[in-house]
Amino acid sequence: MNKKFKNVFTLILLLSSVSLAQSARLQSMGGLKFIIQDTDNSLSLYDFGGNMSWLINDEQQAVLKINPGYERTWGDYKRKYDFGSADLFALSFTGIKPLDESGTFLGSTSYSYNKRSDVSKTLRFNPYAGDAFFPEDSSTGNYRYNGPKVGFGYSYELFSGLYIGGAFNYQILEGLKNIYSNTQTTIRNVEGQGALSYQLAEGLEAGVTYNIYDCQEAMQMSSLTGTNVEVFNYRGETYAVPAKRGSTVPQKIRTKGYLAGLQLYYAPAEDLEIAFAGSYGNSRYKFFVQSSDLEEVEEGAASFEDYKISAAASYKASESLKLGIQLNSVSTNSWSGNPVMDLMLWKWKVNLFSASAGAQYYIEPADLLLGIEYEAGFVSSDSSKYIDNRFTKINSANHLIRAGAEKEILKGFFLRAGCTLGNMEWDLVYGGKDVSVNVFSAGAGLQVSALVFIDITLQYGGLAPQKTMPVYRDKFNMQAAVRVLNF
Amino acid sequence: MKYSDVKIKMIKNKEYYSRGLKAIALVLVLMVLSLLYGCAEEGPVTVDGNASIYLKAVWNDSRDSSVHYASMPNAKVILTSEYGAIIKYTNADGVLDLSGLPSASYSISVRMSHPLDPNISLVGSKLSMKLLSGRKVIDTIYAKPITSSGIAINELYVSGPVNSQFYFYDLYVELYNMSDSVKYLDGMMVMRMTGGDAGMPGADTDNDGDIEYSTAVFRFPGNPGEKNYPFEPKKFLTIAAKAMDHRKMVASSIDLSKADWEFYNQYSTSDIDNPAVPNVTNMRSDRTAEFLLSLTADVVILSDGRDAKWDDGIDISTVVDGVEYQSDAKQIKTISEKVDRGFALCPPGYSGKSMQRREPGVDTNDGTMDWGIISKPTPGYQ
Repeated sequence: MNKKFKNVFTLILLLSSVSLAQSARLQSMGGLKFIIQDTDNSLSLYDFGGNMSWLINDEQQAVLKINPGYERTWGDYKRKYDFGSADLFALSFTGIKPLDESGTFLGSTSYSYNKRSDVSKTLRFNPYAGDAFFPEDSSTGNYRYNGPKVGFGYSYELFSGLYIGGAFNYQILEGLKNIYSNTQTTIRNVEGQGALSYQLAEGLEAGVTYNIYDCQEAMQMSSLTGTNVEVFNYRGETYAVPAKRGSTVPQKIRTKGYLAGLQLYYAPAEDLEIAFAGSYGNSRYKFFVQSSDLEEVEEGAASFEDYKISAAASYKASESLKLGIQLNSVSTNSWSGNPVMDLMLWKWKVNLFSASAGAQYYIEPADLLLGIEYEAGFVSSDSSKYIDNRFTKINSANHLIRAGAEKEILKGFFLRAGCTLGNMEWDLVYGGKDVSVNVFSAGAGLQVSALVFIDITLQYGGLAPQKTMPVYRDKFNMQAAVRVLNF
Repeated sequence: MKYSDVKIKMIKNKEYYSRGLKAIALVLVLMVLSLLYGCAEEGPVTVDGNASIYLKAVWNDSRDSSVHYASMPNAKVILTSEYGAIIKYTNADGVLDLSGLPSASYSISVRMSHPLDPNISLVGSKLSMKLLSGRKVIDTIYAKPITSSGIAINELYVSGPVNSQFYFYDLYVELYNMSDSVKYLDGMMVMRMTGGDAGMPGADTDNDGDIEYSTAVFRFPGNPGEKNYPFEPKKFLTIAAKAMDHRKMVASSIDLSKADWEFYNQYSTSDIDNPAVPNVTNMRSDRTAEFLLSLTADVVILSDGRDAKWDDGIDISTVVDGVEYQSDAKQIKTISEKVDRGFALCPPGYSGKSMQRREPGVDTNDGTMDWGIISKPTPGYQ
């Protein structure tokens, strides 16, 4: 399935959202993203390009991965509708089983429990999805979201060199607000992928993917006392329309979209690899409110269009030294409108470009592995909130350095540590200026037996706008990864 | 080159050719998919937040039958739409030039105190004015003088405090004397009108000049015309359902132990009477319930008490003020047009909010424009 974006924007998003999916080993080494050689970090069509059809070549050994994790986020450096603090517990199981001639099968299941405290007024799971619609009530309260996710993936060689694959994920999240309006939320996520890949020649592979997704968030605001619930639906920041009053007020958000991708891998020499992944995504969002007991009205609509290009190269200069570069470009166009009156409410465009360079060095006598990455990012944002008469243009340069080390203390026992330090001229997510990024991590790895590996990681860090106000947004993350081979 | 080498080369070329075709096929698949689904939906062309209005507020200040329109400087302009109320003021020339408004249908009310008599209000309104993005509406509002008898229902707090115990007994009715003279409460009646066969509370259903179906009828002591219970000018008067400190019951409630008056049902065995607070007592011996108002919709009438025969309807001519409130702006108005042309929007139940006239005591007989929701109850003040 789709993998993380390896750029500054991703880091920003990761610092403000769940990062439990990242490899525990790499996370404990300062969050190094591409330079460290790791089983889940290659430039293959599957790891780099998210092409499920290449799974059969990428994972040739059966493996069971068990990942429990905990994450806590807190701090006053936040937006209007952000939670004050949040705790996230997650447990996932992923099994990959090569079936010889019958292909390779992947199955996954996970369960998450997310408690958000001091959520101000918003009734949506993600109030900052990029659209202009903000349903809210008058209370600040706590939210709890929990639910399972199941997924299946399959990869099969049709005939020599041509591979076909697919994946399917289904997730349910149930949410509840503990105070007026006692909002009950049901989020249903369905994702699917169809993929093809082909080995054009030795060391030259190409693939295409097509992803579709459908997400529905159904909210129901209910008064426990049987009286009317008051909900306001903001269009933009200034103007709100009161929802139809009743003892129960239902509203719904639906997003449908697709993502078409192209991946290339080229290894012209044994020590040189080049990968490319491009994609085009398009999604449509609709916000429905209940106008009567039987009728639903489309209150708002939004559209998102994304172009993404990633390129990476890895060069093994010697047995000890590996060099790598990575380039990423993301362009997002979005608009939000009032479909009833056919009016544009908000239009924005974001362009992101990042360039990273890194080096991995292994000091054999000391059994010490070092890695360092430098990332320079440039972000430009053009936002026109017509309904609010607010027009903003921002250009920002961001710099990040990630460094990590891994030392084999005893045979099969590793200690790891690292950090990420950086600065964002403008934080497009939280709106701060001159924001510092400081993340520190540590961890350990243990080979319990020939087939069982355990990695644990602890990570602490956050964002802080300097020179403006004494606020911060911190995150503590703790996770483990158990790998059982040939299960 | 040997034949076998050539043959091998040909086979390899064929393989590469085949592979190349397959690669092209892959790219073509992607292109077809992109063509089929590629283009993002174009958004609306017209942007919101771009509506404008140029409003001139005038009133006829002629003292005879001729017409002479004078401008209304610094007049309050209330623009209400689905987005709520926007309050602005005209400039020195009586003009409001406003831009950057969201597209909607607006009802506009202009009001100002008469330059010579502050007890007279100059009020004008326009309903359902469509303001659309990219366009400027130019219009004139003609205001007329509205006089008041002096006493008006100024605030109704009925929603109850924020709580989950169904507690709403801290309700009160607030009156205001906006005249310059002392008024007297003797024999005045406060009524709650609900129900009726037609389901039209506060309506003059048979068009005979009275409004029927009073559920609760409470009366100030004394008789109309007597002067035992003065109501001072420019003062507020709070009539509590229960004159007690409700914060002892619910922390988010209010203290009404020092209310000016208290509704007391002497026929009830459970109603609480604060001996330090004078009572407005029940006229209906068949009603043993204490005075309560609905959290979501009701009609409250204040009459001068000359028509005490409540069971055949209350003469509209004796009505000093009447207010209807509803929880949904789209509800049908029920109160007689002769009492009020609109209705107030009430806050949700147990929200801790209250309803109040936008200007103390100013009653233009249009509850939709005259009333607004405030964030907390203000007994005895504004």
